Amino acid sequence: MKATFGKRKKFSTSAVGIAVFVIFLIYALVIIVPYLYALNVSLKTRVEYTDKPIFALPEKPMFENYLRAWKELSSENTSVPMMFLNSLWYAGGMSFFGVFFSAMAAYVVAYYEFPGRRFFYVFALVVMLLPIMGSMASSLKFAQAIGAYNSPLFALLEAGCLGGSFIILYSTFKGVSRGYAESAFIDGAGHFRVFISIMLPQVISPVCALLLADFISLWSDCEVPLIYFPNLPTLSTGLYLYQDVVKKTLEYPVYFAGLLTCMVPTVVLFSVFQNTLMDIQMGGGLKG
Amino acid sequence: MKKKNPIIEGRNKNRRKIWLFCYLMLIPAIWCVIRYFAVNGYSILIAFTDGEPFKDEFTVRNFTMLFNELGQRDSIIYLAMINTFKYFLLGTVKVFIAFVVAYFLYKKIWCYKAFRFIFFLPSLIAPVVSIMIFKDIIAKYGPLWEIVKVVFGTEYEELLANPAIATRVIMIYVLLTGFGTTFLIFMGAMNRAPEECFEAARIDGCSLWREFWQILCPLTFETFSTMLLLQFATIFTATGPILYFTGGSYNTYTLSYWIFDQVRGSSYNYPSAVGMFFTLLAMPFVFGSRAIMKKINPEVSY
Repeated sequence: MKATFGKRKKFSTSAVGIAVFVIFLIYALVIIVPYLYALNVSLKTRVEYTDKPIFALPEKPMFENYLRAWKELSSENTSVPMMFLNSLWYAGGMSFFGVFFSAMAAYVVAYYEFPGRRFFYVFALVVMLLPIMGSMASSLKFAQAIGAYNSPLFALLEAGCLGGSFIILYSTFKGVSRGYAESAFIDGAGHFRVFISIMLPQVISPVCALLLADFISLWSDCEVPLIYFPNLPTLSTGLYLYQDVVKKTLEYPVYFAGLLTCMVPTVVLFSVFQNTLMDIQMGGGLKG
Repeated sequence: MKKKNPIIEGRNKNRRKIWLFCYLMLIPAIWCVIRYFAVNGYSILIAFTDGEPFKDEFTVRNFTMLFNELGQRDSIIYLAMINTFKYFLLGTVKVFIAFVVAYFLYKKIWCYKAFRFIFFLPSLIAPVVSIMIFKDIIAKYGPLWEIVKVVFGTEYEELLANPAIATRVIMIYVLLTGFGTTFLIFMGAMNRAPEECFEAARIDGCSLWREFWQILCPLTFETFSTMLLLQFATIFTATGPILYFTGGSYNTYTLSYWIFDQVRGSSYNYPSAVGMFFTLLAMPFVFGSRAIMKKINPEVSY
């Protein structure tokens, strides 16, 4: 049936729409079922996990496994609450500093004329397009030299601000009208005041989107904490290291409870701000 | 003595004030630049030594070793390079799939909000969580093993302990666990495309395929080509979650993971040389791709 003016055939009820829905449903089940399986395991006793059929439901849900995970799982002499705190300063701190510093740099490069302006833009472009491989060793030495190794200072000193976030915010600032800023200047506002009170609120949506995306990826990161602060394990690192212990103790239900606890903050954050993530606008700046 | 012009003086003073503001705002960026040159400069130096630069003599031994390894098909570096290409190709395919998935979600199929959430779920959850669950499911005597035994009457050995298929198993996981933020960025671009174009096409009786190919693709090409370009940048850095699956055993190394593993084991010189070589190799490919994208870009972006 051909669509006619004013009458739009609904895509979801067309043959293609139904076929796509079925494919998506199967794929969604493939994603969801493992987490349901993990939830089921986390509520079992150790005996139920090892001796009973795999898909059997627990006789009595062991919610105390979650409490035990919180108390018992530890790695590098760090308890789960401490790991949680480490994840928080690493993911929260690094994403905040990274995005805020990027916004500061992107704002001045997008709006002001000053010697070296072009250099920062080209530099960010090269850093984004050409990731330098093999610099991890010297980067580690550098972190040790500046006191960022095994220290929460890492989140401040190693927060990169001339990369993807810079390019995205540069394009965003370029597209924002400067009318309000000009009025504020006339009213006697200073440059920093204009940035904080006028310009930053106008790009708050992509800033939040970048913050959220960075936070999620850093929360999940295990490799950087393993190299740069091995004595301060985050939740991801701790749970990764704890798998060796669980192979011996067979306390898989408690371990799975710990694993599921780890995913709560990012899932909650995304549930609340999922529309914000779509405000990341790619293009324009990168191909400059 | 030349008299000072008060207007020019005032303008210069104002300009200096603006410059001061700019450079103050750029302090973190300047720190980044210093860090970048210090780290990569030192990386180049240690690539040409067997120990500490300026303490030990400079040598090209690391590069000779690299070329020897690349010439041997069973060497770790060679296998890592092949695996890296496999992940790179998979990543490229995923960009295209993500675009198509985003299109159908944009078309608001049934439960599109739930699908959007579920498809992004694997990116939200730390890989350590998803992978431990996945490993438990595919393990010998695990749920998948039970299902295969019941349905097909066969039993399999540990999949991740088989060098012939371990990388493929990890790649299946990578494929199954979604498209990261890519499809959300595509959806954002599609939602920003002007609805009038689609309305006009519908009035003209445009089919779904033509709407996708001749309207949506050109309107979102800039976003698509940017994501593709970012994917091309990973030609030698593409990798999977090898740390959690095998730790590099059973022929699963990629170049990035091999470097990480070496640094974790306190070996610095040879990985720096390997990294430097592949970065140089990536340069023409990445900037060539950028030039091509720039040429075919119709400069329409929403």
